Amino acid sequence: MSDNIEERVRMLEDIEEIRQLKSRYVYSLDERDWDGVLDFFAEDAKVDFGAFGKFESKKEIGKFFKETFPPVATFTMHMTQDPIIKIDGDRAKGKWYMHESMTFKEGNRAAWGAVKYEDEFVRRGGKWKCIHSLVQIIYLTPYKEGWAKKRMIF
Amino acid sequence: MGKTLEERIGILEDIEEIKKLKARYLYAIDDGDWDSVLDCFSEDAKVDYGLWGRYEGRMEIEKFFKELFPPHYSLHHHVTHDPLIEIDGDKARGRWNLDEAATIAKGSKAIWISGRYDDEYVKESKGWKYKSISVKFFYVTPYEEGWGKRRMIDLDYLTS
Repeated sequence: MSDNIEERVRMLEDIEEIRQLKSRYVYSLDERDWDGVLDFFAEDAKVDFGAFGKFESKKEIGKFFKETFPPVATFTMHMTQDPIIKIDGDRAKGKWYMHESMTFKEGNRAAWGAVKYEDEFVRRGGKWKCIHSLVQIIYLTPYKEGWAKKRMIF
Repeated sequence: MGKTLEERIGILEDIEEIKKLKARYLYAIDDGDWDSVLDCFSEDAKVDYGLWGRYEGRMEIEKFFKELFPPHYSLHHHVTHDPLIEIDGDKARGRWNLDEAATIAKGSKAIWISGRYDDEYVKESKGWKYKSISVKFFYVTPYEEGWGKRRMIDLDYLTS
């Protein structure tokens, strides 16, 4: 922790900004505002969404969100919790739990999901963007069965 | 940035105060502490609680919380996530995701609730208060059915 008050204030602002950036990402997901979702990412971002796939550029990520994902799920409600955000100059790391309720189009099946995110961020032109997002799916379980009976719906 | 250090610290402190206001409001609802709930509102506050109704002014909100609302429930547990808070001097706006487990008293029926708050706040002499609350519900569903089968109950479900 720096003795310099300017740096300490800057760090608190950066933490809050990254927290809100992640929250805007999940609001956009649930509103199906795919441009809003993509605004989370840097141009050269890479993601690993576990069973949902790996994508190596913002273009590929855009294709996933605009084409692959929407027909699969008719409803999603994502909620993030417990952020641990560390700032290191113009780079940062953030870890979150996320849980979600969702409905799969096939069979109109409700499901519960719990996920851990480990994200990396970069500040360019004064704005924070995600450069890498790693998702670990803890469970994605049919509503009726629950994670003890069937951890993964796939 | 353009703001002084003092202004920047003030904004961060205001954000934290509004987070605490939201938390106090929800802890108080879950505890049935209606006076503490009311203490969160400005005198001329307005609320839109979706299927639970709209109320204007602290007197109407008090009637809702002390008379209309409590008899139907034996349990509430509200949890919020993902606050987006913007400070503009003595005013602010906030958006939150909401997750709730509740039990309807008649028949001891468990329900899950998921929704979104869009709030306005005003900074008064005693601190930040709600100027308005608006809730949009994504689901209010019986536990046995889930949002896939039945997304929204209606108010008849409370008394049936």
